[in-house]
Amino acid sequence: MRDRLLLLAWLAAVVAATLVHAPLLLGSALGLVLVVVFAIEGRAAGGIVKRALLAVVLVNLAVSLGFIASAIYTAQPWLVFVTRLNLRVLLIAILTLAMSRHLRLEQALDFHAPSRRLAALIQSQVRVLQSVARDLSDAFASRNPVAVGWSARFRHAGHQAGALMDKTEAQATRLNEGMRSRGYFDSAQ
Amino acid sequence: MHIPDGMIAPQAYLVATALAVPAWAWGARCIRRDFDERCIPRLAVLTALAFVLQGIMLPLPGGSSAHLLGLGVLVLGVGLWPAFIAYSIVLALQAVLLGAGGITALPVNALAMGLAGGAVMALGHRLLAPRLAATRFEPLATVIPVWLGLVVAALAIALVLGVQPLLAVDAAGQPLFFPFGPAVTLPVIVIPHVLIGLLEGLLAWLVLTRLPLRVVPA
Repeated sequence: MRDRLLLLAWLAAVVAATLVHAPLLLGSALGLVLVVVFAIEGRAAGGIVKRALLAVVLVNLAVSLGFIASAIYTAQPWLVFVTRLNLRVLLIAILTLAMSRHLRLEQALDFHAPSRRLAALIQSQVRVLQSVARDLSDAFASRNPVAVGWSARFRHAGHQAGALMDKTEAQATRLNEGMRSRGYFDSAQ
Repeated sequence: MHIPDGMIAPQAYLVATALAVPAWAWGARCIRRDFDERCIPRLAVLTALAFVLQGIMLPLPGGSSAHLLGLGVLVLGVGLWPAFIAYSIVLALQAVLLGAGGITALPVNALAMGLAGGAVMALGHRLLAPRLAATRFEPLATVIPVWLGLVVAALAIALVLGVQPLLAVDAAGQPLFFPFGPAVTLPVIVIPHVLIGLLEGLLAWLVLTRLPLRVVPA
């Protein structure tokens, strides 16, 4: 229940952020959220803000600079739009990343068993895939001390994709069976 | 090619949500009907692959991003409707856990990529596969539909972004959300995806040629 409420509260906050257009209000909301995040997270808050900035900076920079250039070219004002856009997107990004530290997604989805099961399996498989891909890449590098051609790289990529599929599907099957045998899905059926 | 949160107007995402909810309900029904315990791991693996592939993003000046989708593998590997649900979950996970894409943009992203793009891939494959089977052009039955589906998805995303300045402006005529019209979004988003679609098609062919060799574990 706690996770579902957290998910709903975040959803409401994100929707509210898209309904507010005054830069002053958006800036105040961002300030308030930062105070709350620093109060709750302590030293970890800096990491959340840094991740949020990294998540939005390239897209926001591209849109903002594009808009500023076109506004200057057509002699239109740009400051209000750029301020509003950046405050809104940063506010939503910080809200999202602060919430994601506390959300257990599979618990929040406990009202729908198939989605809950799929979300749990997918999250576990993402970690497995990342780990196996790193292992295979390191192995390829250690087998080839000198640079190899594109055809060898392409063949390796094909074998790597196949190996990833084999390993992760076998592990997902074991995980699925283990979760089922322990009655993980029974309560939400 | 995700649209991030804060770039589309409530008018757009509310309409998209109204369209996406019945599609999600139908997709969930298809999974319950067609997928048993043994097939779920394959769906999870292909979905995780899509998640990992989408993590490698290149931002585009039009306010979106360029990356492989992993959608071709999903659609041709498990079917359109399960792929639509799985892809929506990928988008939701990215929005909730990584702050990539967005939750208000989720219905638009899911409909454009998962449903419109996925439907083109599934339909194209269904048309081409019987005609090209057992010929040296057989890989094209995967590569062409996946490429076309990705381009259609990019086109849909570009159009949705491009109409935002028409949907919401303030009293001074300044855009409230995404500021550029279709004249900017169409070339900036669609052209890179013409190339990315080819890579996506090749990847789908590489991965899917492995699938029939293995039997789903009992």
